[in-house]
Amino acid sequence: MSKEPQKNGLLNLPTRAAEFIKLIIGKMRYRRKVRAEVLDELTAHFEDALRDCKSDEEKQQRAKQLIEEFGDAKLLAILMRRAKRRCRPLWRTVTARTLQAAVILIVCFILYVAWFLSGKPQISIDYLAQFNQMAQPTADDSQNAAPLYDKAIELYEHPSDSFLLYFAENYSDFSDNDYRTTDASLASRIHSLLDNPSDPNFTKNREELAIETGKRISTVLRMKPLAANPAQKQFAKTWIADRGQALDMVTSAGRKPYYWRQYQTGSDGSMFSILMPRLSPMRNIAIILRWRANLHAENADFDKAFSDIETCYRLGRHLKTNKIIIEQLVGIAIEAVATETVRDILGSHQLTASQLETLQFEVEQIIKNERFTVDFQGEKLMILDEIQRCFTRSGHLYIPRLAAVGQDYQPVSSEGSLVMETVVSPERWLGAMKVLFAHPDKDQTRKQANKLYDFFQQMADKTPAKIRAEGINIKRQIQQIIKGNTFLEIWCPAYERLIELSHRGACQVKAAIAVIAVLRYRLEKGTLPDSLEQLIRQNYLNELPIDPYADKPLIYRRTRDSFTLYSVGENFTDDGGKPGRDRKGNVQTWRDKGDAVFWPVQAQEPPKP
Amino acid sequence: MKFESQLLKGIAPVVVLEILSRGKMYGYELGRAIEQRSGEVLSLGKGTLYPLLYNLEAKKLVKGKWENNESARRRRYYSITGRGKSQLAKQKAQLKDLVAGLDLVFGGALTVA
Repeated sequence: MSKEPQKNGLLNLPTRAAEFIKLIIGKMRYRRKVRAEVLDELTAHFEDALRDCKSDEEKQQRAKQLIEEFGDAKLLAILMRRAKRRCRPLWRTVTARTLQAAVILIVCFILYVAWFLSGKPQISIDYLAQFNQMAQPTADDSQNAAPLYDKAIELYEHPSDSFLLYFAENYSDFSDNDYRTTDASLASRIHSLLDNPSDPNFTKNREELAIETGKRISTVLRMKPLAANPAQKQFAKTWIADRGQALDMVTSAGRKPYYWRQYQTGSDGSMFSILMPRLSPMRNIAIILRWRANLHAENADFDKAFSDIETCYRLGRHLKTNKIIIEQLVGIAIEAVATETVRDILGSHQLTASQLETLQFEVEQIIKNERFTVDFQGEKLMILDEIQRCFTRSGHLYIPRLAAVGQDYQPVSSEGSLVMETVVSPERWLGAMKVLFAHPDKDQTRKQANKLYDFFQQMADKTPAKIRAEGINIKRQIQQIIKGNTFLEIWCPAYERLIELSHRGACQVKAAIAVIAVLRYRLEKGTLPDSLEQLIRQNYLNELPIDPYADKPLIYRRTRDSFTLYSVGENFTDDGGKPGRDRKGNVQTWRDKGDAVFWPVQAQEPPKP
Repeated sequence: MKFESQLLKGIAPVVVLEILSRGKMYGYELGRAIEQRSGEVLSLGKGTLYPLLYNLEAKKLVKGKWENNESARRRRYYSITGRGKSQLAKQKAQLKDLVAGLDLVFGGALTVA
């Protein structure tokens, strides 16, 4: 309806009538077209009612009377609006209601997101302190190996000038094609450094070169001593001679009953950032102990070889008794190095019965009362600490922290960046919706985390054979426990393999003891035993080595002039002692195909086609 | 005559439908017709008339249409629909029964001899 008729209509009416009509229309608050129609209708009504009035005064009176008859303008407007709404077509009603609902939802969503993005976590429990208290043994600090290890590492990581010079002058003997250019460059820099001791940057440059050379040394020495060529062996000998003091200190440290240190965190104070700068050098020290043991064995100095093996094993055991999973893993790996060294020496050298007996006794003493299964207590405290940092006081996820620990939610700079990332990526949009609406709160997450780590510990105490026999699918169980929890889905590590590693470690060292016992028996009796049980009966062995993949003793088979000792391996199937191999054909003790063969010591070359 | 509002409330729609069944009318005309045809007994408040018409329109008992009359001022004429006629017939029958029942209660005092 055009404005012109409306205006004209009201102009013909007394002022109070026009004002009354305008008031009703104003109060209606409805669609313009509908109000225009009502305006026309009311105007026409007043015009009709006032038509017969002869004077203005009469018109005013009549208008007043009409207004009274119409009643309260506001109420009339409301009644008219309601009635007109009922007149509108269904599709318009549905559209209007849908839009209203959408607006309400959007407003609620915005308010919810604002609430979600607000709030900060409250760090109320010092889990680090709890962890340090749990990890600390009840013994005085003189029994702690940590200070000796620290000193040993400090000595180990700084090669002498004479060694640097040796490296620079002899790198071509032990370098291979992959590293020749790098080694040449390193050698050149070493020469340049040592030729200019008065350079103002000498100390800084020396430090950098020492670190680089140390890394390169670790690469060279990573190979098994039995597979090294004479130049590489000479390199190892020179390095060992250069590190003698450090290795002696490690030997002393190994004799201490405990290894414990106060854990410290990084800048954010979370257990997630616990500093462990010593793991890498400790691993390198274990490697060099393996080398030295082999070199001693080559010189028939088996007492020194056993000493180094013992030191290496004790180093691994010290790390295992700490509570962080990474340290335990490195400890397991170092123990495995020691065990493999035993087998390598046994396979390459002829020891006397007496030497074997000494070796067996020492190994049995080392592993006496050793707990082989992985301990998840420390990790549980870590995750609980992280939960209190990733949830706000009101119980919902704290996005900036979650983004920092979860790569799927990068970038980590701010909530705004996160929102932008979710907007541009449909997958992340779905993930963000899940985090906003479907995520369990702090208490529920804590419960799930406790349940998860209790489950890990239960599984760690079971052998792989038992897990298989009970029909437990670890991955599926984990998924069921953490289902719907984005935080745990991000954080949950793949511990299925870790649980097996600890059982393998136990199996390997007990297999080594059994091998020693068999070799002793052969030397003393002139023949191989018929079975491992015979070794027990004749006091050559204290306990049968159990295969974690069968929950039975390892399989011992006599051959014509030797024997085989093996585990059925990860496929739980007896492959007749056929060893597992990697993709290049190299023998590997634990593979998903083949058996884990502990004796005879396997050749490293791939089998000929 | 002023009646109890609750008494009139129920019959106002049927009265409007009855008047409109005799021919289309615009709002003012309808209000006057109710007064005249009831002998000034019934008077539908102006504040009730238009909301009532809109409600009847929403229920599709009446239909509104803008028309220009002789004065060139357009007016919205209301006419009864088929559904409205059915509803009217039904409500008239109910009223008849009501009056008969009340008459019995009041001993024949409601009907004029």
